[in-house]
Amino acid sequence: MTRLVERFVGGLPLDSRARRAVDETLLDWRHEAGDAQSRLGRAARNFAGLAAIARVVARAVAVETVHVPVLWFLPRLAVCAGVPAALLLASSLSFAWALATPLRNQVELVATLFVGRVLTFLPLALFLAVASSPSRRKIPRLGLAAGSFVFVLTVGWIQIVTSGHFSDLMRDLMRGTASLHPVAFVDLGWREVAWRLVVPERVPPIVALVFIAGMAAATSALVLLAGALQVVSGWRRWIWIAGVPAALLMLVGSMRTAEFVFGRWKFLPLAALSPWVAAVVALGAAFRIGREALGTRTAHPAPRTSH
Amino acid sequence: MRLARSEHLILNLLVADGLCYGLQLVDASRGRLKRGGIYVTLGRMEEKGLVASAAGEGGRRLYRPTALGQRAILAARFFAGEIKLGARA
Repeated sequence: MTRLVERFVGGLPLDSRARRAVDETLLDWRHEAGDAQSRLGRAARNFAGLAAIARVVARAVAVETVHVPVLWFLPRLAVCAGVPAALLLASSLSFAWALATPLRNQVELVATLFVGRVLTFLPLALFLAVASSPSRRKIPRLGLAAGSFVFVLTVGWIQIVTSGHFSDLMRDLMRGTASLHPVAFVDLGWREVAWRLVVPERVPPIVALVFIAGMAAATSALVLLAGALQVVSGWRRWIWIAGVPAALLMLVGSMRTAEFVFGRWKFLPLAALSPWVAAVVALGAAFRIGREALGTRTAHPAPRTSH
Repeated sequence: MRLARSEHLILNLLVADGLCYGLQLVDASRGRLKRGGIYVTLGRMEEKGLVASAAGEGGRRLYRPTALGQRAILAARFFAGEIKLGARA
């Protein structure tokens, strides 16, 4: 059991202080488990050891989350998310302008459309913002991953709420309870397109929640992977940076194909689980890179300097 | 130098017991120090120069208070009114 935990924490990007605390706690755990007289005693000591490791890691994550350099990170995120966000906003504006007359309805449509689609590019934008940072920059990776998890979970929850509101609003517009813009020259066509393509069909809440939690997990795993890439040098790093978006696009493409082949309702469980698959793969890659880097550092320790 | 509550407790225990493993400090603290978390505090104290460590049995580290640590705990006890001027700790 200690070996399994050791492998897990070995891949975590802990700072030197937390790493030392984890190593010493692991030594204590081994020492205590070795001294246990009975099976029950060993199980109790294993539990205590596991709880101690969890406490150190949780403390390290909390400390890093508090110390995330927000002012440094947000401009980078804005650069990476700027183009897709602008495109999304433009399409939402044109859609709302063509469909609804009162300004209130237009604002509501833009807001719900925009928020409802942010998750399509947010994970990748976070990955690119971290992955493209210079190698010399120390990034609190665990803190960023935890922050991303909470952020995406919040956005996802808002998306679930706005998605229902958007559907209701669109249905009102379709029924004519909200007035249409007089210059919506393709009025009927718009209604048809909107009804078929834009109005999301309601999905069971459990599916939505599993999907959103999976997106949050996948995003934090991508952030950890992006942080781990800091130790990868040269062209290998750029292959990763180009390869991850390509892999995600392939995943989305295969999901769309599956939806087309199997039909929407059969496809829903697959869609809900797909971000979890992405999370496990990204986390595995991040841990592998992290362990390799740790091994390299251990094999070639930095020379001591004397003053 | 301002001591955190956990630092104060660790220094008190180390001054009383001398060389200690982290786990011994946890046991001696009767639940006030937690396993795992203690090493983060000990690491911070070592950086401040309040404690020093040396390799012990099985790779575990033995901790002892430094002269600075001893002076810091003495001062803390004095300001808390636990000892009087001229008295020995």
